[in-house]
Amino acid sequence: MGIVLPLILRYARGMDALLNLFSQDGREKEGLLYRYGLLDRRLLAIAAPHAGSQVMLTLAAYLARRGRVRVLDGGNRFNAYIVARALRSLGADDLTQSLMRIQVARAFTCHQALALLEQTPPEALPTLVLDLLDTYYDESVPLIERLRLAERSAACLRALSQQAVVVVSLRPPRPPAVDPTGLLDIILGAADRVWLQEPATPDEVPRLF
Amino acid sequence: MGRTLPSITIAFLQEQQSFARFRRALRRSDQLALDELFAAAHQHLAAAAYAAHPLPFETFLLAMLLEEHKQVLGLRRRLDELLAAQEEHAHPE
Repeated sequence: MGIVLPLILRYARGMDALLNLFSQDGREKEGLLYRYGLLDRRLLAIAAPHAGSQVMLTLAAYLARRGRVRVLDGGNRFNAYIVARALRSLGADDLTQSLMRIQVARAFTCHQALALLEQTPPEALPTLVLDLLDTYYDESVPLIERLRLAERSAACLRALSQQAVVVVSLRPPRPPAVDPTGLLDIILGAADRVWLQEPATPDEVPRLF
Repeated sequence: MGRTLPSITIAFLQEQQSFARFRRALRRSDQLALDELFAAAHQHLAAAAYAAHPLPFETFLLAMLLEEHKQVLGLRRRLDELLAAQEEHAHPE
């Protein structure tokens, strides 16, 4: 409602372009990462089915090769096996060392999610927030309370992004085209850049007549 | 509260599932051999869980090799016994 998204890159099918970033080599990859804002002090948002888990975990692997990275998991989506596989495919020799550079914290309620964000020290470390809104979709918490917490979470994310890149992944509620709660808009409105994955439409079956 | 990792059984089933298309392309006799390999790895899930390797499929491969090597050792022992029996039969003292 009246929120202008800063920049929306739409991918009709999957997030292949983003995943392909990590398969490129050397200087070209660095340039693309800067171009996509993955190395700047920015707040980036990914809104996709499954909260873009594959992209986020691959990104965690890539950042872990470069240094320490924080992962705040709001939807229990962090899977170390997938990260390990991604690290191996990125050619990481020190697999265990790279994994140890990833610091994971999880939240199971929206109050815990906010506390997690508020207690995260503002260091110059890249921060990935997985499926932030998963706990906010819990209907046992009044919507007005969830909206208040989401506003504060957005402010925390903005503050963290002043130190290093913050990438937050979001899952639109079902049906994906409509967000009756307005929670998604709050986080997307705070982001500097948004990747929005449109839901895959089934191929049209050719008609006989 | 919650889980930090999928259990080793789930990881095993996911790895097995990821080879479903490969299995489907094999001829029937090879499918049975592949199933035996996975069954061999399944016997060592407890050890694989204890190993907590970041890439569990490497542990599963080692478990398959372990069972294969056990079979090789058993066959070698059997062959030695047969050769000894044959030797004794050829030169009875």
